[in-house]
Amino acid sequence: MDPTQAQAEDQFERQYFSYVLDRVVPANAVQDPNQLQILSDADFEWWWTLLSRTSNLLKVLMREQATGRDFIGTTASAVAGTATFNGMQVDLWAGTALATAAFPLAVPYIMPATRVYSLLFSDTSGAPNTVEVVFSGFKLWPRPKG
Amino acid sequence: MPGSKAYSLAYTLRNPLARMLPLQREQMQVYRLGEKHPPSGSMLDHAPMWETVPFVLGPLKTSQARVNLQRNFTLLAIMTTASSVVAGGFRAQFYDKKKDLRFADRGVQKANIAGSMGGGGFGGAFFLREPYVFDLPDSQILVVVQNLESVNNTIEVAFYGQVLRFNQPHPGANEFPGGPVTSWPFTGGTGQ
Repeated sequence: MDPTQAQAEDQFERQYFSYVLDRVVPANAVQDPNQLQILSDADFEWWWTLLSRTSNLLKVLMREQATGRDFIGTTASAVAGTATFNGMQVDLWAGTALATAAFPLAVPYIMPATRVYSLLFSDTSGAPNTVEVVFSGFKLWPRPKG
Repeated sequence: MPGSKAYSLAYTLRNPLARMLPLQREQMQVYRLGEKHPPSGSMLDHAPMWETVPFVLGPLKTSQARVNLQRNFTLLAIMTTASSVVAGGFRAQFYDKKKDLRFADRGVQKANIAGSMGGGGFGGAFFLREPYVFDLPDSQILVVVQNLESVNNTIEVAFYGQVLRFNQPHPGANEFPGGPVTSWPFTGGTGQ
C-alpha cells in the first residue's frame, strides 16, 4: 500500500497531550542531565516543541536512550573558536506559545511508550536558569476494531 | 430561496497567506509535507535532526565549517543567532558540497537568512516551502560565515531537517535496537 494511502487510514484516535520538563539549571552547568519518560499507556506523537527560559545563555542537547539517537548535533569538521559542543542555543530550538514561536515538526516523531529521552542543558548565564520544555502532540490510542 | 443573498466572505477575517495553504488542520498549514496522518509519504520513518554550527569570530573575520549529514538529510528550516547585530551581524553562504551547489548567488545577511524561535518575538525560523534534499551519499553542507561586526561575535546557525534513521535498513522496516514502536501498525513484523 502506498504510505500516503496507509496514513489516510490511520488506526489511531489522537488525544491532545503534552509532556513537560521543568528544571532549574544550576549556574554554569555543563550538560546538566534531565530525563523524560513517555508514559507506558500509549505512544506519543510529537508535533511541537515549546520552551521558556530565564536567560537565553543556555544550550540544549537531546538524546533518545534506547537507540542512542542524537536529535541535536554537529559534525562540523571545523568549528571556529568553540572547544566543546554542548548543543544548540535554546532560542534556536523553540520559543513560547505566547510569542507564537512554538517550533513545528514537519513530520511528527513517534515517541514510543516507556522510552526515555535525555535533555542536557549547559548554562553560561552564571545564574540559575529556570527552563520549561514542552513536547506537545497526541497520545495515540489504537482504535477498537470492529 | 428567492430574495436571499449568497453567503459572502467579504467581512470575514482571513489569513492573507491562506490561499497558499491547505484548508484543514493547523499543522498542515506549516508544511505541505505536514500531512494529517503522519508519517508523511516519502518521509516515512525519518527522524527530526538539528544540525548546529557554532562560530566565535573576531572582528570582520571569516570562517567556514563543513557538516557531514546523516542519510537523506532533508532541509526544512534554518535558524540563526548572533551576539552582536549592530552592523547586521554576519553574512553567510551555504553550499551543498557534494553537488557543488550554492544556495544564493552571494552571501546573505543574517536578517535575511533567518532569526531564532525564542526570545519573546515571533518565531523567526525560515521555513522552506519545498524541502531541500541532500540525497547523495556522504553529503555535506558547507557554511561560510563572515562577521560584519567590529567586535567578537558568537554566531550559531542551525539547520532543521529530517534524516533517515541510522538504525533502520529501509523505510518501513523495524528500527534496531529499540524494537518496533509498540502499537504502530506499519512497522510491525517484516515491515509493510
